[in-house]
Amino acid sequence: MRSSAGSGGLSTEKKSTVLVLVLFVDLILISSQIMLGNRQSLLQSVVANMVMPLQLTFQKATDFAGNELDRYVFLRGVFKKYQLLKKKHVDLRVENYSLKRELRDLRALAGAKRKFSRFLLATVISVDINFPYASLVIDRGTRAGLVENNVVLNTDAELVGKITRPLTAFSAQVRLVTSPIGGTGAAIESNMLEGLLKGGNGASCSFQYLLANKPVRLGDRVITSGTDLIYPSYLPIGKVTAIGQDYLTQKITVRPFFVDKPLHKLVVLLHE
Amino acid sequence: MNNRFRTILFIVLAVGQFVFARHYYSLRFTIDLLFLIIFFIAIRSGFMTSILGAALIGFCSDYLTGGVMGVFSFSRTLAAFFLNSLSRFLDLKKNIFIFLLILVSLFLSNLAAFAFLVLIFKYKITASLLVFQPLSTALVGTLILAPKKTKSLLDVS
Repeated sequence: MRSSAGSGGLSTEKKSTVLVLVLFVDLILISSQIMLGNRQSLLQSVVANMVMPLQLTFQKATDFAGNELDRYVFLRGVFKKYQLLKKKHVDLRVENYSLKRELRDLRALAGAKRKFSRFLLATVISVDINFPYASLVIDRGTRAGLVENNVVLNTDAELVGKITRPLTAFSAQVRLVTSPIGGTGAAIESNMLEGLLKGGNGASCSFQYLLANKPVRLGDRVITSGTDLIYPSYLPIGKVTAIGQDYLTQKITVRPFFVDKPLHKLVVLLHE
Repeated sequence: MNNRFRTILFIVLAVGQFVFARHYYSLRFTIDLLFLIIFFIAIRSGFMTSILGAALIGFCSDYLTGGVMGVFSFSRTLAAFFLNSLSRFLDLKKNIFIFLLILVSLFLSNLAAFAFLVLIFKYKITASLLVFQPLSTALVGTLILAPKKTKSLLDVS
């Protein structure tokens, strides 16, 4: 007679489950002893392959949540940061502008110091918008030692004009060489042909009474001749841009150098 | 009386297998006496006892052979399932059926073990595992169960 111990009323499903469970345990034990090429057992590899997707999913989920949280926190303060950065940017631009100005002044000063022994730097404070080539006003006056007929140059030591009245303690008017009033004793540098240079309220000047006995070429440099007893000689003025022949004289048009350069800082030569 | 005889027989078979395992290389002869214990359990006991007993005895076989743990446990569990399912349809009073049942079940069980050991673990196993061991074990098992007295004590019907 067959013993009923352990079999009892076990259903087929339960028997199958027990059998499969026991076999499964055996297979796991066997797989733990099968060594693969990567010096890992089959069981380790299977467990790793099963766990890795879960681990990756968990890691990516936490990364995603963390990043979103960070982004949210970041966005909360971003407008305030933007405002601060904008203010900082404006401050830096202002500082940059002021430093550029300072640098430009220092360069002008250094350039003037190399050429002239006694001078002072002045800043242009106004230009007559109706006659921009006639005169301008600088921020230095009699208090700084300026007197009438002081010679005014740009920072490249090119002739701009001279000090004229009205002359106050803290400002002075500069009559430009392009002004129709007055004139400048000038000469063509290449052949020292002298004449009187007069302005016409435009960007150019023209020679008066320049004899036609010596040839003049386009592009010739024009310098002060010193014959007017106001400007020292050999100061560069401009260059010849047009030549016209008359019966005895030449009609020479000259474009001053300072016209094509910014007039921020000017050098005023003081009398010795 | 039956239980006592069965216990003594199991102990004798187990000790015999241990002794045999120690002198295996000198005897040049292979037999699996532990499988006979599985056989006796499987043909008379219930499903659960057969399966769990076979798994445990299989572990003992694994330990004794010094091979891969779990291989014989697996194969013997399958054999126990096979024996447990098939024995009810056979007339085990006839010795030929006992012989054939042991032979076939041990052959199939060893075949499963052979598959693991040779194909996966690349062990060098001779044909004795598949041929001689089932034959010798079946012979010994039949001899043990051949007397009517033994059949009666082991409740083989």
